[in-house]
Amino acid sequence: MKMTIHRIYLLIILICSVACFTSCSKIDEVPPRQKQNSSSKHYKMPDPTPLSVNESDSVNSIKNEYRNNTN
Amino acid sequence: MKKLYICLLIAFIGSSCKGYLDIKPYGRTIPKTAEEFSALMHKHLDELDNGSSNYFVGNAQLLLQWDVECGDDFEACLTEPGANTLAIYAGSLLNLSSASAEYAQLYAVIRDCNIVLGEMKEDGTTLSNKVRATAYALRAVCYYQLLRTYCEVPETGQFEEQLGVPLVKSFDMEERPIRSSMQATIDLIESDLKTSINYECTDDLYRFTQDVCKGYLARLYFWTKQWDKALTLSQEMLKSHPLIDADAYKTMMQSTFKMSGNQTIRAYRSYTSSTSTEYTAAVNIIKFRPVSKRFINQFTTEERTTDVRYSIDVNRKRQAIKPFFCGMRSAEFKLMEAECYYHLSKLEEALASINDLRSLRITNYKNFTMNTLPSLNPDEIIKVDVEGKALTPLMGLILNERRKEMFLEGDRFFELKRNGSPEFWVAYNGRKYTTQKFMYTLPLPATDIEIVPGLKQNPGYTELVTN
Repeated sequence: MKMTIHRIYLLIILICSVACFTSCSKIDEVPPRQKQNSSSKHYKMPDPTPLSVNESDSVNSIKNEYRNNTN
Repeated sequence: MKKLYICLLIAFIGSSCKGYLDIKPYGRTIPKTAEEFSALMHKHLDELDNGSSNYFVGNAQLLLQWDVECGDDFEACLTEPGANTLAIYAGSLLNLSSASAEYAQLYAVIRDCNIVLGEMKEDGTTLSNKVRATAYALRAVCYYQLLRTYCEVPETGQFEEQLGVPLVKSFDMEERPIRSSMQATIDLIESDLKTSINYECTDDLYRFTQDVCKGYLARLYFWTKQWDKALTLSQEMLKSHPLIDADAYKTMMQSTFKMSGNQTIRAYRSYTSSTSTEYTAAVNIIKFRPVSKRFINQFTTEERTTDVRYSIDVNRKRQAIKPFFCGMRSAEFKLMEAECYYHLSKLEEALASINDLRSLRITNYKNFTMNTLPSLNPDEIIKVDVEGKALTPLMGLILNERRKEMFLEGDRFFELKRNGSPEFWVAYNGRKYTTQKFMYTLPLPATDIEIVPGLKQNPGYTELVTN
């Protein structure tokens, strides 16, 4: 009888141990903390480029036209 | 006895934690009575009235964004130091993580509409009918704004293949839908507007009345190129809200904080201290970025003295002085009528519509005929119409008229998008910033792309960077 009780205890201990060491494959089961939240990210836009000579002339003419006709 | 205890213990452990971590506020924060649901809708209608955080109809800050920063009616290279906080072009705006605020806020309004439509009992009382009509209308308007902003221009015959927006039709905090087809998005907006119209809500207290819903339905048909349907509804709107003459127009446009003339809905109907602060800030900053010569040239030299719109729009220093208007008024439907006629090959009728509008804006106006149409403006960056065809003088006239009439009403950027999404550049501090075709369609927020598996981003948005 005692042997049977011991065997039952051993079986229970074995089951609990196995459950204890295998069920929590990841001890810390909360989601991995993100160091950078995506809400602080944005999509990269093309960088501005320097104006060419023609483009600079065009901008200057817009500025001159504005100065000459509004002051 | 022991077995009984063990059984009770197991039953207790097995049943007591049901829903322990369930965060849905069942029966606690969801309203119950029609009055409470009405209050939920009025929270958003109040935002419309005082112009705070209002993306579904717009406010002064939103007009600054679309017209002054993203469009071509203003000249970025002439920006004075007082307007350093204005974005230079559409790309600068997309560089800000706050660009996704509009998306989040529209879905927050949709969530509240879904609570009303899903949880409020349809008891047939006048109050519950009005609240349901408002919820359907408000949800449709939010999806309409999402469609214009976050989806590409609808292409006839390709609505099933084109991407719409994620459709959330019920209140479920765990739901993470992917993008629907554009057809499904259009169908939902149309169905919601028609349902709201069927409630026949005419109580102005609920703002989105039957007429307003018809106006939005006309806008939807127009945006999706359903010309015959847009034409019918535009004419219905013009019949119930006729155009008004130049003096009445001037009075209407200068009524900054009240409904006037043939307006059907508008922001800023209640004047609070926060309204004043936000509105005044926009009025002050717009002075530092002059209106472009390209816009000025839409008016002939003669029209600068005879067209009532010119004196309302700009002063001698080319500063925009037109009061911000966010809403809906009849001139838009006249312009839609003209364009619908044009695309239905009824050119004489299209010209007649434009002549009708111009005769109410210009003193001693003499009608254009097919033989006296002005030639195309070489400064205009729109070169093709919404169907991708080269502009004709008549189509050019319709678009020019729309540009003048809808100046500073949040229309120009979407007109550019609709008509070929032309690329154009602006200069600032010696550098060139180009608005590329893909920038006319805003990106879905990066957060949503990360947490919703299978959610597709719009083309052109590939590389994420940190602020």
